[in-house]
Amino acid sequence: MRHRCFTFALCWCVLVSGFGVCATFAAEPKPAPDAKPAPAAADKTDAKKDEKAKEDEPKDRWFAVTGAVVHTVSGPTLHAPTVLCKNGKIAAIGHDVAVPEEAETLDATGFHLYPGLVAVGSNGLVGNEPPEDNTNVYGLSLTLGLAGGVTTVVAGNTAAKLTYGALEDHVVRRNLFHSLSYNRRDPNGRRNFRLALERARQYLRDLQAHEEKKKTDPKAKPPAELQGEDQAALKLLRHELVSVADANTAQELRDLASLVGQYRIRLVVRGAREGWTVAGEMARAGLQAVITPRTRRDRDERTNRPNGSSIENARILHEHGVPLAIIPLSTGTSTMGLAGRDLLHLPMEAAFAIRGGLPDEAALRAITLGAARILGIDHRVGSIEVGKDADFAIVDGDLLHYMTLTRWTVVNGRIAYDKQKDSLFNHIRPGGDLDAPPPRDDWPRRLGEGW
Amino acid sequence: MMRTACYIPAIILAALLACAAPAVCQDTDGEETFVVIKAGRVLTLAGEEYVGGQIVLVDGKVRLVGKDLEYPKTARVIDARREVVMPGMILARSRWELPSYSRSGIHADRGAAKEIYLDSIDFEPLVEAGFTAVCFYPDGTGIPGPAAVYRTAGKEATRDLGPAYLRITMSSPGRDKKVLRDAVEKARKEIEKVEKARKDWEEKQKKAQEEAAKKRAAESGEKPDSEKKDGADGNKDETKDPSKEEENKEDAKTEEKKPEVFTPPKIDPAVKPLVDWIRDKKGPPLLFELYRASDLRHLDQVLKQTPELPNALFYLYQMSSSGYHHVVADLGKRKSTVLLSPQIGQLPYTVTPYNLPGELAVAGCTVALLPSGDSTSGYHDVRTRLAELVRAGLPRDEALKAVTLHAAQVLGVQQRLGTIEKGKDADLIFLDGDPLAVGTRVTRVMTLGELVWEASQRP
Repeated sequence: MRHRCFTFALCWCVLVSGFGVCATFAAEPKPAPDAKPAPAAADKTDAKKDEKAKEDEPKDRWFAVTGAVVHTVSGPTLHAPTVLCKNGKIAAIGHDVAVPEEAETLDATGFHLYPGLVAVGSNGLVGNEPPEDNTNVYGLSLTLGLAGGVTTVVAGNTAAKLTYGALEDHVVRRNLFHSLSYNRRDPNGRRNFRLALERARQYLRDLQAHEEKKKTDPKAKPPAELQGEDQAALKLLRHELVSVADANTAQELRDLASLVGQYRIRLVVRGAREGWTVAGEMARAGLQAVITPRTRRDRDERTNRPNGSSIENARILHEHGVPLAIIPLSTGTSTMGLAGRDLLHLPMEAAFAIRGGLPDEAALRAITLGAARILGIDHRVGSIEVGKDADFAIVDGDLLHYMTLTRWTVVNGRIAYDKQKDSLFNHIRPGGDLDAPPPRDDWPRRLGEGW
Repeated sequence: MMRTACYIPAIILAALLACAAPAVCQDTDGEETFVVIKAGRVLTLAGEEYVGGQIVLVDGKVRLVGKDLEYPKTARVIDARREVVMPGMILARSRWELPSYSRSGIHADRGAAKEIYLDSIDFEPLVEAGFTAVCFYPDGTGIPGPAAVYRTAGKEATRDLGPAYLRITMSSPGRDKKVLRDAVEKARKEIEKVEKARKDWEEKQKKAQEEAAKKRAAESGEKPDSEKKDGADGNKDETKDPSKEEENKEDAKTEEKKPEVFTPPKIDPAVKPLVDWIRDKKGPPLLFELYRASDLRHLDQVLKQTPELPNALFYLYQMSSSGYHHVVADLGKRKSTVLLSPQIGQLPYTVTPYNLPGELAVAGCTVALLPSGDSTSGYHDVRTRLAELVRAGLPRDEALKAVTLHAAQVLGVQQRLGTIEKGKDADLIFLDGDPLAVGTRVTRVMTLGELVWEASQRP
């Protein structure tokens, strides 16, 4: 991985940790109510104890990856440790981890292991809601997604995994976002939303007053329960719900920033094309952004302010401390002429942001842990840590290099994609391995023996 | 006068006939009617193949099959020494000449049998192609109802072969999983309802007994009254637990009166087959229709919660993207019976040919095959398609069984049809060559020992 000098435009909230690659933001909101805190990093002795305790349970599903360079994202990059998984969760990471005999082992020497990529949007990879009833678990789109290293996608308002050939542990989290439409074309809608927030805020004040009152007068009446949109607004104020809104122009972004600044709700902005012009305001308001670095929009010369898209958008937002997730233009896998701009090439979209100055680590984070955190599922996916889901993209080089291809994708501790077993990319051998035998010709098909 | 004169011979004739008719009957009752087929080749599909074989039929059933058989001299001989005789083919899934309609939801009570009027369907194309039995399925999605099997020719009274599999679609899991889950839930509720009614009845019975003991001295007619009321609530149902009957018997012993039989409340016929499976662990075969490999996973997810239901009879609708190669091993592991069209398809999104029927057979499934289309041309093509599969690796025996014995197994009529064996119905077809050879035609068709179609008598 290239090392790049970068400076943090230090916001009031930046805290540098680990190698200085992962930035945690104090302003970054707490995880979703159902989120458990991410468990501590690998501990070898712990893992051994775990194993002993678990010998009693005979039917555990063990899976181990050895030899790969492990990019944990949340911590250091480890050289050829053993990543041991049990029942779809990472059980231990380390060089002296004892692998149970019954474990399925994958020798990934020479390959790089990354956390499975998280796509903050998707189209056709998993079924309509509810995905566990509609997903085609052998579908081409799903397999292509896996071939792109993606393991978790958002479909509708649900985060689901690309569980190839299985429906177990398919859904990660439902009701991800409250969808907010807040723009100047609909002033009435804007007003109504503000009023709802206002009522919810009043309700909270009343509730607090009621608590005080109860101390002296136990018969005091609590305030009336809120209904409908007000209830959603209340959840937003209590940070039980996160809003998502589309906003691209500086004006839209400023409007949202001011709304969030006023009510301190959690908001994810999709688009943020002109985010680079208002990055400070966005950061101060605590907005999170889902961006597409390759968005192109020419500058409007009639406007006397910086506008249009910028290759530096991702870098500027990152340097101001806006948490980022990166998503390509097309969230499907069918390229439709947009070669390299779909979920097959999610790392390429992130790599493009590097051209604009985004550090490698931040780019990687924007398609793994950062994206997971925006979805409130970072306690399960997004990095290689003990206790997290065993979702890996095992690739044959630097993930952010355009020549890199996925060799295996692991979902829930199962190999969901194997480049050499699938016909999709088996014929592509960027390593130049000319001696390898050509893919098997299956015709005439030989049926099994014994007839 | 003239008129009465005319009547006299008629009356005499009628009287004669009246006397003769019983005599004829007695004849057939006493002596069985033998028919012997002397065939050039007999494909029994039960393991044996006889060149220059004979089949002895008695009253429409196969009595003997082999070579140099003994039979009475009075037997009628059918000379087929230039023909190949094999069991009639069975079309295990068809809507030939039936209108299509869309029905959704749970309708196990509304089978295909209700829409079949044998007179209004032209079976000739089926017979001509060599099918002696056909199974009509009800149209629609969800649980549209049981299919019904008929002979394609023969006497009207002998043609109905009863209900076959219950069709359950899983073509769109988002929709169909819910239907199946609801049906199972409904079935469980019905079972609960019966259990509850039985408990109530038993309690009532006990109370009545106690009362009777109290009032032993004084006769009273109240008790039977109360029970009659109870009995009138529910209609009689065919499915009585033997255990219940035993209990009733015990009751009868203790009481000296007539045994009071518990009449369970009527079970909703729309979910009756599921009730049978869940409660009694047996019932009509359930045929699950899949559109793609993924549907099997969705089906399994539902059946995981209902292990009482069988999960090994499938109809595979083949689309280019179905991708059944993913689940061939799984289907084989559970020894499935699989019904599908005889196509050599391709692996999805590739040009790699894939012999799905062959792979299924190798994996351990019982493969039953259908014509590639539910049309005249499809019916006529079916042996050609089988030949193609054989060329691609499906064993010849397996291919022939796929349209006879295995199809009969799918329909649950394998005791009567599907092979030429002792005791089976003589539903046979005669061909002028090997069934899988190019250009071979069906020359004669026989159902229940009667020749019902002959090519030579067609224009």
